[in-house]
Amino acid sequence: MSTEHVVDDLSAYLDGEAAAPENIAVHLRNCPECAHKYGELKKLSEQLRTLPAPDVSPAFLTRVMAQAREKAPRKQRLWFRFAVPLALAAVLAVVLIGGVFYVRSTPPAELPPSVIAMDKPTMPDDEIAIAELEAEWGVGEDAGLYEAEYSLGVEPEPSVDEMVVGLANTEWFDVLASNWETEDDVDTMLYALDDEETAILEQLLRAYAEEGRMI
Amino acid sequence: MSDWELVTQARQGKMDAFAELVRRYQAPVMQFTFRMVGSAEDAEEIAQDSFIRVYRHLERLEPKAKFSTFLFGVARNLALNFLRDAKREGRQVTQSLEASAPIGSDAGRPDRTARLREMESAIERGLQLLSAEHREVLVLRELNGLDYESIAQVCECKKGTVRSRLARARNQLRQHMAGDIGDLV
Repeated sequence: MSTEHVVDDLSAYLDGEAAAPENIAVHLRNCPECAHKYGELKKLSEQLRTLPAPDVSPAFLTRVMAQAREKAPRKQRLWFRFAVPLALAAVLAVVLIGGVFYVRSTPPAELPPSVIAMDKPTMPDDEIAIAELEAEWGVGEDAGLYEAEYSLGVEPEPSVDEMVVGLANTEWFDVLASNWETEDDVDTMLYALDDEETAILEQLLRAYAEEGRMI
Repeated sequence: MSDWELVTQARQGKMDAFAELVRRYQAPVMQFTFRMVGSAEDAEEIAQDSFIRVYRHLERLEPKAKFSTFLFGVARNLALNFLRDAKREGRQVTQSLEASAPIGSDAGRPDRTARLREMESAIERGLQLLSAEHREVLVLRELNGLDYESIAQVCECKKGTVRSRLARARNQLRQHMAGDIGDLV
């Protein structure tokens, strides 16, 4: 066995990855030269493992998670989009309570047309009834409703305002609003608010004031 | 909870699950990237980028191998890109290793002798003198504890190649250290 071959085999033997470890073990007992080389490799391995690990910055995790939230897939962005204003709404309840006099003394703000549309159907009763039946039976699902809305020239997709108000009146609200746990979470959400999300929050608060509800 | 169970939860939008994966692997990945690029600052940036890239591709990950193998593979590619760019731009990355000393916290190791520190410095210098393909297998094996199969997956080569590269890497490192500190080795 050549010196080079011995070195190659000893390295794998040291790692427990040699093809025939029992043969190498026997060879090492009978070959002082290879045993010496094996000793050197073992010592080198021990020295390598004493190298200290680099310090990981305490902010490492925070930075990674902040970037991950920014780059979250669309599905998660949608969740975030609603969780942020809803959670913020809960936090700003204090502000609402403090400004309750202002809210009560000010004429109710007008809700966006799309919100009003939820309360005042734009379709004839019979078309709504058909659409509801289709949805209930799972036949036309939402298609019938959308087609009917199209025929009236109304935007078929539910607006953000409609979704927010809808969410605020469902069990989802509690689920979403409970997704923040610490002040840091709320801070993160506050910083993440863009103009559109701020507008959604304002609409939500107005809707709540209109209904005389508190969060 | 296993890595893949955390991945499944992270796919569902549970950020805490992904945060747990980061906690588990931030130190090993930092260890690897630091030994590859030789600068703590650059290593941290590469490590962070590795986690972000993995996060962006969570949907595409399949549990055919260990999660850590995939993560180290991303970190390895980013580290090699960094070294390639540094070489092209004429930046000397090995100098920053010495400039960044001490590595880790010596305050917690009052028993560390000057001789040991000298040995560590010699190993660090020796590692930086190895080629990237030899350094990566040695670091993954000795400092990250990966087996040959995992190293082969990370480095996108055959298991036999890992075996021969490791043997050469150890031999070269010993030669560098012998030339550096002589009988201390």
